[in-house]
Amino acid sequence: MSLALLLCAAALAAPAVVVRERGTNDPVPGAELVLPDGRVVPVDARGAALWPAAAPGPSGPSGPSGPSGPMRIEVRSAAHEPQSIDWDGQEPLRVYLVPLPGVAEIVVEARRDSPSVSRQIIDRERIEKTPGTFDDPLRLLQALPGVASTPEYAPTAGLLSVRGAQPTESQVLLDGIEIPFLYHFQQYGSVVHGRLLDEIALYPSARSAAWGDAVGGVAAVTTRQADPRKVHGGVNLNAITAGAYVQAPATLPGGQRAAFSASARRSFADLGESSNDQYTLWPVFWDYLTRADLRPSADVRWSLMGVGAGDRYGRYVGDTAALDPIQRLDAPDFRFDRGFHGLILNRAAASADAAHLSSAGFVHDRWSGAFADTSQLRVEDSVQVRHVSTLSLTDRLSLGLGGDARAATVQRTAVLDQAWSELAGEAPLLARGVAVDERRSGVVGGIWAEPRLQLGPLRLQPGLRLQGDSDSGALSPEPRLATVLRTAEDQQLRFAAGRTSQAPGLDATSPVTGAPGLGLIRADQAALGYDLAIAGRWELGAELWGTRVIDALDEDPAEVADVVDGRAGGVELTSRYRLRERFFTWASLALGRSFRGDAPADFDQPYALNLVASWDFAPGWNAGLRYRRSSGLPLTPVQGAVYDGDTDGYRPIYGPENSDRLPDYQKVDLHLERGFALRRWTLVVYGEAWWVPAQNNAMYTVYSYDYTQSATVAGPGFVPLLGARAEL
Amino acid sequence: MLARPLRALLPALCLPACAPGFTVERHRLGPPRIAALGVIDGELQAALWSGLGLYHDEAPRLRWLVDGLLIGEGYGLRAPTAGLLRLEAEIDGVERVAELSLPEEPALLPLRVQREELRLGDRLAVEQRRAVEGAPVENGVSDDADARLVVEGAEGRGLRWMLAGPEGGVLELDATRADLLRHAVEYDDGAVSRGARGPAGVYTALVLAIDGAGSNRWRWVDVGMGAEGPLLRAGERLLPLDLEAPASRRLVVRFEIDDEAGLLGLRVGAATPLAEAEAGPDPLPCAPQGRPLRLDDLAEGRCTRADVDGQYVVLELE
Repeated sequence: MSLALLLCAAALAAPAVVVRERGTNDPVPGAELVLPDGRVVPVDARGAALWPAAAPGPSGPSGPSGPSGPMRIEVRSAAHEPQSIDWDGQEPLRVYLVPLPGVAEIVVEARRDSPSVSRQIIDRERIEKTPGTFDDPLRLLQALPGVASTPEYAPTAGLLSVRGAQPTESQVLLDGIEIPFLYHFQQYGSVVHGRLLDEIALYPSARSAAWGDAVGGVAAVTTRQADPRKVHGGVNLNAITAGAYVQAPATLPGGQRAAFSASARRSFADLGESSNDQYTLWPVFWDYLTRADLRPSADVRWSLMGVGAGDRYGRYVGDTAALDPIQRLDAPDFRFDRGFHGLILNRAAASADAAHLSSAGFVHDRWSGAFADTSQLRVEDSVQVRHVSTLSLTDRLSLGLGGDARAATVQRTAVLDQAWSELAGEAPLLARGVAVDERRSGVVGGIWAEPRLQLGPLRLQPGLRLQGDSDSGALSPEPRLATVLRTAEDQQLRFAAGRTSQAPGLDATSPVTGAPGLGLIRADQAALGYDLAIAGRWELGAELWGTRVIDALDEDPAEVADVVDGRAGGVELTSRYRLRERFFTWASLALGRSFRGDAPADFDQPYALNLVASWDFAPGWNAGLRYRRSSGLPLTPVQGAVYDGDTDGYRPIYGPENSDRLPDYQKVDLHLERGFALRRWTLVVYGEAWWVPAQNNAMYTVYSYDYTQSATVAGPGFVPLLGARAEL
Repeated sequence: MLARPLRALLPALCLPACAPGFTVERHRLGPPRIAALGVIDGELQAALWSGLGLYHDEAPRLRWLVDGLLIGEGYGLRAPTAGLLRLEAEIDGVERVAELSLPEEPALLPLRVQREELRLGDRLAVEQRRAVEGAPVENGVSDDADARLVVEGAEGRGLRWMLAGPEGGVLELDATRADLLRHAVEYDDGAVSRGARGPAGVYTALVLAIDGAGSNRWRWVDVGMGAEGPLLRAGERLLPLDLEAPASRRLVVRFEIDDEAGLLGLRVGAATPLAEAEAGPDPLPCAPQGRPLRLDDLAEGRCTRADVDGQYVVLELE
């Protein structure tokens, strides 16, 4: 009998000793048992000891080939701490090895190729370890250069403004499909469980022809493919939300392998108290995500995802702090309820000379707001498709081509007898003050082609996108160009320019509340970047960018949308250094200005500085620090007020638009995490705290009832948070 | 420009945030302001609060415009029957602007106010106050009591209550009633409590009835709150005078400026009832033609304290 057969027979007889990794319960296939007499027993892929036939065996079920009596064995593995164990040689033994710190792999991100040469990526490691996210890493979008940084929990906190654009000019895609909102309320939490996130990519401007219908930025969020080998799961609890997730492999009928993921979260502040002086129904948010992954062959992957999120609350209309009790009783009790559900199907296929990625999704978004006989309801159903193919034609030439489309139906009703400007952020139809009962449909889409030519160190990528909008009937040819010149091993020069457009949207072109004649918003964008890796590990980058916007929407809740031209420009400096699984730091400084007409844009931010560091300083320990400082966002000053004798109220008299500015904002986040690797699972306990100096803590301005006095509302200055995660 | 912020959400999840309080609030007249604007008896009128008391030391300067066109200055202008009325007033050096939709047929709102005495104690919540009945009084309430003001003639209108002076507090009760306290009113997350107690004396509220369509009417209402000495009722105002209820609706009084005289700012040096047939002294130039002076004319700036200082004037009791 050959040695292999002997080994197999022994292993099948009884794996008396099993070696697993502490915390994950994963087998340690490379481990070895060293017996007292110096012989070495290997461990198989399941972590089971492979007793050789010649070795003395246990007298139990493992047969005569195993050990026969008490002994002290040493268990060792190249990636784990060795362990000595006394064993009676009789009972089955399970050994848990503690992993050694990971190998310090240097990560140079600029080496990753992308059709869009202007981009920022946050990958899984940084998603999980960057401080200041309060266990909600999608908040990191605001840490990226080019994204307006706003105070936590300010009215603008949940809005994504990229390179000075209006939030409505940017897209948020989840696995290729646009979702209605990314954050609950004002960034209290994102709509995707952090443990199911894989990557956050930001394409701020001058993108590849693959992207359309956004004159601002595109944030592409990718969820994580479930581990097809084992079960993962966890529960998490912090001061705001409780949640859980699970990922599990499965075998389908026919033997096909699949994997499933699911997560759910809910805020729980409402459970202890249901109402107060201001809230008649305490704010609640929830979200869920389910995903099934199927890999029918080595080259093809399918995933089907269900995702949903919702926010709701009830509150008195008006500032109840300024009302008499009797007035408060008369204040309308407004109920806000918004939620969406989506179904997203993705297919990725790859061969030696082609790669295809297809996405299709259906999203149902329901937005209601009501009190007494006044109500608004907006329901949008959209079907979205997106396809990207990359064909390798020759060694030097490949071709990217694809298309995307979004067909939407919007049903809007508004029942009211006056305008309610107090509800502009929550019920825009009520703020508009016009009765509405309409149903509108439209399709926005584009097709594109982009040859990618590699000429030695030069990559040349001219592209053309044809973008259309059924609502306006507009068709926009959009040339794009991207080039990358690798000037040395770790140096490259990037340039991209092109035109992009965006449909104004069915609300803005409504014949009831909007301006039906609105055409496409267009933007001409350019970016010039330089990347340098010093000593092959410290990455420095600089990017100069400029944008001209034509016929951008100038939206006011109380008026029909108008158009205005805009311009923006700036420079972004970045620094990154990363040792995988050990340490990373990144810093960015964004300098820029953005104007709409002659006035600063709403998100004009002359500077924004971000510093982030995360360090696994000891086994099981992680510490993080994040610092940000940015100029305050513009605001339009109130210069006086007119007493309205009809209502006994005051109407503000505004000064020049956005001619004033909130104070600079700065914030420090600290994160300390301790992981306890138990035998089959890991417990992670973490603490976070933020500190905002009082002079930099302005969120927005409030005015006295007659606008003769103003004050700045400050956000929370010091907020601690404790949380725990338990993960399989 | 950003939409009005959804600021209400901030404290919802127990995160602390704060804004400094303001020193002005809608229930206290405070700095100079146009407190009310309307068409009364076909005349454009405004309740101009001086910020000092129920008097003006400088005559307010008024410019009236309709639909952007200047139609006149000062007091006593006849009201057009349509358009957007705009009043630009300079009150004690402070510019104030008010607008009003001119009603085609201003409704007559002969507001009357009934005073009641009650003791609320710490029962300041709306339901608690509704459970307390008041007893009608003529001019004021005793030292340890609170006052309730009941407005008649304002059906279908919304009432707004404003206190003159820095003392006391007003708590609305329902569509026609409000409670007047000598204490400041403090709010804490919906709970109401008493703050600092004001001195005994005459407290004044301005009650404004609005219908949202320009037909506004208002009354200045004095209430004695533990006030010492006799008070003579002149309409809804009170004068510190020891006179039996005069048979005539007119008095001849001599006013003297007195900065120690509280919100009134004037001391009554002498007072004599004027028989209906008697003409009395010549009207003051500042007084409206065709009718005697009212205390409200002083409160709203038709006449300044200097206009009446040392003068014998006919005062209409209504």
